[in-house]
Amino acid sequence: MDFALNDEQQMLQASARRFLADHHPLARARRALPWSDPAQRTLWRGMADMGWMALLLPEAHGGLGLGCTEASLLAEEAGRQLLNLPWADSAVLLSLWLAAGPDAAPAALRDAVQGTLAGERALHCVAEGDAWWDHAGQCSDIAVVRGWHDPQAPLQIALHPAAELPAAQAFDPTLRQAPAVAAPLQWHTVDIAPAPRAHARAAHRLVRAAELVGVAQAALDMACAHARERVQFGKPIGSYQAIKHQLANAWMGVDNARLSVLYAAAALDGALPDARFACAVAEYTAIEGALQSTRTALQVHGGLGFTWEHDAHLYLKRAQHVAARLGGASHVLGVVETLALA
Amino acid sequence: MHVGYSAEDEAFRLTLREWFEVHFPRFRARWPATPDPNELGWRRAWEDYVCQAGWSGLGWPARYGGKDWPLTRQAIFHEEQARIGAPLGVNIIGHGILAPTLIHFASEAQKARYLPGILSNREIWCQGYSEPGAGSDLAALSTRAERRGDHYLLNGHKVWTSFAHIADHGFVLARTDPAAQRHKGISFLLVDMKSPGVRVEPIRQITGEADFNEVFFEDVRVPLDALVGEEHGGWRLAMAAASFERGTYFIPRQVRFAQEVDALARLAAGTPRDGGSALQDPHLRRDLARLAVDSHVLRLKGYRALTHALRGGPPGPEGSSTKLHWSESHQKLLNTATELLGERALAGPAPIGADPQAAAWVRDYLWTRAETILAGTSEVQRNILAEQMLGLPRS
Repeated sequence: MDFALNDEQQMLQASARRFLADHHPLARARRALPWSDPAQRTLWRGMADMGWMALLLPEAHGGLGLGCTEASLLAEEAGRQLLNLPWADSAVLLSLWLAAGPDAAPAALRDAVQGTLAGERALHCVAEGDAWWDHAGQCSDIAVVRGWHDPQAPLQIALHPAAELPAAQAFDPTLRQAPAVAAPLQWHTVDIAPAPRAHARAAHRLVRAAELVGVAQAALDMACAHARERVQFGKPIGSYQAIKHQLANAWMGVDNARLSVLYAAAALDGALPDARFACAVAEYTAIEGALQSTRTALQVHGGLGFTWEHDAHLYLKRAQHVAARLGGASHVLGVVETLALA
Repeated sequence: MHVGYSAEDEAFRLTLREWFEVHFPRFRARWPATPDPNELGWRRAWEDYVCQAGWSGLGWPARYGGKDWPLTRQAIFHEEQARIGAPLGVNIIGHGILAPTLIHFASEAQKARYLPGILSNREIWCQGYSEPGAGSDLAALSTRAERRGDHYLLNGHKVWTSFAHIADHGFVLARTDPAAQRHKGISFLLVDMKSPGVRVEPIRQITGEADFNEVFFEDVRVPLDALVGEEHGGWRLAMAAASFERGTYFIPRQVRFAQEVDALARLAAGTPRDGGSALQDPHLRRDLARLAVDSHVLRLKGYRALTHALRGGPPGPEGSSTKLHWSESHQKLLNTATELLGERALAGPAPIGADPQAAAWVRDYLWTRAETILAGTSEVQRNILAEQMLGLPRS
């Protein structure tokens, strides 16, 4: 039993934290730079140079052959800095689809992943039928996916160049999204077995949950720093239990989420029998923990937290955004319910 | 990163499981059909049985008669014992807290005197910490031990002392230097509960039972060699004593929690509702799903605590985090059960009645009200987390 990160994983975590803090501080997230900005492309290439695009690909295909544990560590750090590039889609979902059947994969998918590995293309996946294409302004291509969430339907993708899309800042102002385009698309079938297909979907959802853990932790850190410094009635407000206990509750929420994500990642990597349940719990605790932490952070900042200039709302909105993309707390609790009461 | 146990440990688990599956029913057969699971006689008898079978001193060094098992195997033992539905013992303070404290801090003479009684379960221990004026603020304690030649003269009043009415000995925090600052003048004393001047008064709880006691010390003579560690150095021992169980303390509670979630689902399935069963009620199903999440998270907190203890680092937040989550989730579980029982709950918690199943749930419901109070209230746990994990200033 060793339910904790090993030395290599801790090093990966530390280097990702340093890299993203240096290259993607919150002030930059707030500017929501478009893909056309050279700074975004430089950052993306830097991430590729760090090996982050190759993380999950097998070594035989030029990858690092690492697992969901490492991927969720990176995602947590990305969440902490509100990274606004589609790493989870490019480096997790598309890469795992390719890895599941590299020989039968359509050329479009192979080229897309090759471009990602080189740090030249950044693909964002949307489900067919989504009204909004997130990241439309912050990727090179939109990959529209058919059958993503329906294991009975064939899995197909269609690529749409993002350059001409009318992307604008959205509910989460660090993102540039566009309305879905109705134009006819050219579909490519991705023929992979049900098990790796389910694994890819679960891994992608898990790294989004991990991203929520990072968002939650960053909001909590910011709120605690404020509570230590802000003085009212002659004392730091963090000395009052009304504040302290809210923050302790938020910490509990983040702690539950981080443990659940860590275990779910190990369960996916090790194909443990309770992996599906563990993933559902990870998604649920991550959504709950992130919403609780980011809402608490806003409250602890008082009126300051309600201003556009302050960063508190950026965390709240990212948490809300990812939660919605995962289907919301009630939806994932429904999955827990189905599995627990089966 | 490795979640789970090695193949050798799993094989070890199977031998333990086999032993429990043979011996627990054999032991149980000597008791009435439905023993009250909380009755101390039953709990002690099982604990005696286990100790006499040699399953005692699991983590102690062999030179004190222990088995010197690595922590992982101790964890597996506790998991398997809980899995079979065995009751918690009555000397848990002796085995879990005092014995490792003695092994670390006591003189060889003290070890020779006290460890064999714990190993065999012949001598039961209680812990004299809380006082009427020192609950959450334990360092405010005012029990005095004055040095008088070859002994201390002990005077004071302890409260919430579990097992004091059946205990042979107690370890007591007492102030030996009233002039020193709060934490500095406290000593850790081993007190014979049969000494003249020791009076134990049971406290009747909201369950109707009396698990706790008040203990009065009136001019009790405690020999000088009953001091553990240094005089006035007791606070450090008490803090260390609380950390010895950190890898395994919650294991039986976590296993039991998972069993109770299953039992609650069965209770719901057996409760008629609108022509079907309460298990079809969407609100109840959501409550059960949330409890399944809590159960899973508690298991993970247990893995973390065990991992931290195995890696040997200083105690982290795991104690407060697990305690808070367990006690509050456990209350939710029993709140849900009591609501589900409806009228059946109204007969009360006495185990001898027409509906012992409902009585057991009601008794546990009432008991869970204590769990957010004892061993550090939820409020104290939140302060600890806020101050130690989040760096917030003391109140």
